[in-house]
Amino acid sequence: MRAFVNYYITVNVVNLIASIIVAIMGGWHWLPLSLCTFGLGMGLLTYNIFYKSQYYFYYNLGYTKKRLAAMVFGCNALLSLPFLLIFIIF
Amino acid sequence: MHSLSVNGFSRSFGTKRVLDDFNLDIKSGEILGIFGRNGCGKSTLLKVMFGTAKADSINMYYDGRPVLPRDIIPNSYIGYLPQDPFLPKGLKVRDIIPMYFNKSHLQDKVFYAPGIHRITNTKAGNLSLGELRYFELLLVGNLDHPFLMLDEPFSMVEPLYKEHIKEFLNGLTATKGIIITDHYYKDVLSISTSNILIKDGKAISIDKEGELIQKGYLPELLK
Repeated sequence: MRAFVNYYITVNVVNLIASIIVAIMGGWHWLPLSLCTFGLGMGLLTYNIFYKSQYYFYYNLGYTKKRLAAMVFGCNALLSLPFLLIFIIF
Repeated sequence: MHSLSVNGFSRSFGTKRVLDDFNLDIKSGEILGIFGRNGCGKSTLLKVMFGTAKADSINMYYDGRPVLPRDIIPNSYIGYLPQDPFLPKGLKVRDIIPMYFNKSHLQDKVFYAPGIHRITNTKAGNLSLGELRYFELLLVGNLDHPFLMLDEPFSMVEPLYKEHIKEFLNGLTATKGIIITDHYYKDVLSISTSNILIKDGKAISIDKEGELIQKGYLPELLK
């Protein structure tokens, strides 16, 4: 799990930057949505370009690329959902 | 006791057939050395077996049961030391070890391995290539996969560490089957229980160093 946290943080640094840019351009209600979609895609893409060899760090622990991406998506969806609901309700 | 078999493995790059109907068998307790010239498909073979590269065709069997390469990682059948460094560069050695091992006695195996105490506060990105290789090997080797594949484990490693590595790998054969590919053939031959040479896409069984010369892997002047 500690290894996943390291992956999660690395991917979400780029995700957060991309999502904040999206939010500045389109409105803050896009932030929670982007964290699970566009921003996440940018984070995964960036990781794949700059840290590709580090996937073997996780492969040896039994994490596939798909599983890692699904876990990041799941965590971000859980964290974003309350904010998304706040934006929808108010 | 576990077994791993590869049958009918073929892989082409463009029009070049690199491996053609290639077969391989390994059991726990064995160390299989794989030799071959650059570009002959050694690393490709290991990546395909690990499930991170595609084959034109391959049949894999784990303990006699068919298994798909994509199931190797989720089931932790094989630990793999790739050619390129894979540790996150910004993390210190002492922080990486608990990421790989939850149990303290397994962490201690790495912390107290020869030479590790000197580098525990060093970031992976600041280790020398030899230190990094040795540390990566200790991490992957101490995981409880029944098989271990090592792509150039002796590369850039200083002689003293090489001896530690050989001792470590010999110890692992009590529970694992190991596949090694490396151009440091003397180091591989000193610990392997069987060897193959990949030539023209096929596996040729090798018993001693002289055969590597006969088959054209080593130059004649080494006779």
